[in-house]
Amino acid sequence: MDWLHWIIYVVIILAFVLTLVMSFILIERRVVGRFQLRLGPNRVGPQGILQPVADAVKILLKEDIIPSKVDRVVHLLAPIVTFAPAVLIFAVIPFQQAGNGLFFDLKSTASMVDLDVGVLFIFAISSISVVGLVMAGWASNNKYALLGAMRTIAQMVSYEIPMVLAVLGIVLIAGSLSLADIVDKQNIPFILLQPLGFFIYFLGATAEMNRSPFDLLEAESEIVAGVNIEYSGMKFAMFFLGEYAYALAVSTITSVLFLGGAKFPWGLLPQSFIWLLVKILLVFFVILWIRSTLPRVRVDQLMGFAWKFLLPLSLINLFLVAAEGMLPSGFTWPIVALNVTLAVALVVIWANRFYRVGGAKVA
Amino acid sequence: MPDNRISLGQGILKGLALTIKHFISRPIITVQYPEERLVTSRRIRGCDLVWDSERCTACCTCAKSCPQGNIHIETKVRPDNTREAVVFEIDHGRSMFCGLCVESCPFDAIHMGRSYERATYNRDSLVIPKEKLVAQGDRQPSGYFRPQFEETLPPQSLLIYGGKSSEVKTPENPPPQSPATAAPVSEKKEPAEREKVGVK
Repeated sequence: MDWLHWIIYVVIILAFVLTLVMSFILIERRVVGRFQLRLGPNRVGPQGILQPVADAVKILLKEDIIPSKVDRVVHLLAPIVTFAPAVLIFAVIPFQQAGNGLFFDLKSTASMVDLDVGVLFIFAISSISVVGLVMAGWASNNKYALLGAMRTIAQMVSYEIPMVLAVLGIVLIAGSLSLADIVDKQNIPFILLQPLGFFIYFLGATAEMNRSPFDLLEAESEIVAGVNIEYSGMKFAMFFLGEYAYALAVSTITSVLFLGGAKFPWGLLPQSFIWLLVKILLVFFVILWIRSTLPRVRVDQLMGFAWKFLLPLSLINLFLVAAEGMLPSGFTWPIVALNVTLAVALVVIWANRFYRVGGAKVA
Repeated sequence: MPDNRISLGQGILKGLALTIKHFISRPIITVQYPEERLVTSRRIRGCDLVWDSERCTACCTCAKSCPQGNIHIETKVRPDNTREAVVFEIDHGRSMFCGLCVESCPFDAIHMGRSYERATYNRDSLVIPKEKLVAQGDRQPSGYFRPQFEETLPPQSLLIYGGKSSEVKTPENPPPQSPATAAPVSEKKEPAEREKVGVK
């Protein structure tokens, strides 16, 4: 019955991604509106919950303009290449662990495929979306699109490195690349064992998905709209959906890797996919909180932050995790205390002694 | 540039604290327009002109002063040798609401309105005949160039002067009483008021 498993999970994942992406769009608009003392969309349906549907209908009916001098094939493929990886990521996400659950018990992990190299798969797949953005920038035959694409390559390639190094810390603690194993090992959420790793991963992921304050890809004041400037109608919607699907993917991966996935903290309640959902929404809220607080960084600040701040810190973090791995087991809480202290101390020391934002000098 | 101050990231933390405080405790400051609306300025030049048939002597000064010729008046002489406006039409669709007709009226018979909702489905309905020009419903005169009305109108509610909740005028509230009938103008006051603006 293998094919049945595939079909069921394809349906589940598509439903999960599309519903959550739709609700993320609404949640973002409502929450950011609240942050700015507005209400946000509240007209279509009760509390505006049908706003994404109205937007979707509008955008489906729009004319699809193809500028005359674009590279047609690449222009058409780019939004698909951007959107598809974000959905692919969910193939390895464990929605619920094997064993007893809050609502129902499972014989095996509830994921489409429990890859032994799940973490590797995630990072391999998620970097494909850069290719889509570059294709869009190149094919659009537009200087702003190309500038946006160039920025995106630089940004995404740079931030991938500290991000992956930070996640390596998790892999070292869990001793496995499989996401189900990583969740299994989280008797306490890894955010406590790896505060510095979480910090680096979260900032890196924020930059990876081109979220404010790292949204240089579509810095309106500088490059109009970035790569999607020549796109309209459904193709633009694909970029838009891809952005939110990627935000959803990042929230999910963060929840799985650092917050314990489907487990309730300390196992106080039986595990359930509900907890995963709550954690995803929590992480997304923090992303929105950061978005509504911080202004956009400059390009040089962005690159300096990745290479001179996050990368050294992630290397130090990796060394620390490796050293702590040699301790005998049973020192969980002292290690938590030590790691939190070290994380704060390292960030403060590094920020003050070795790195200045925009200073372009390592003193 | 050596800067030896130790930064603990207070700036970012302070910003995050401020935004979350806004998120949790600050009331929404936007006005949910069709349900709530603010009280307009007492001197608003709204989207209509209000005509007072009692005071009008059909002298046509307003029609002559209109830069666009929007006011159409036809008069007839009554038996007592006064004049009466048989037709008094204003094309609101072409009006730019400059208020020159209001300023030029020697008898305070035409006023700017306070309403600002004048969307219609066709242009013809913007030409308003004299039966509909008088103060009725939400066609109420504003205090523009009519200080005698201005005193009777409710003060403007401004968001910058604090919360909106107390000052918002909801549709349930009774509209302000018609000053056109409530506050008759003293004849002595008029020339002085007109002089203030000056003919120069």
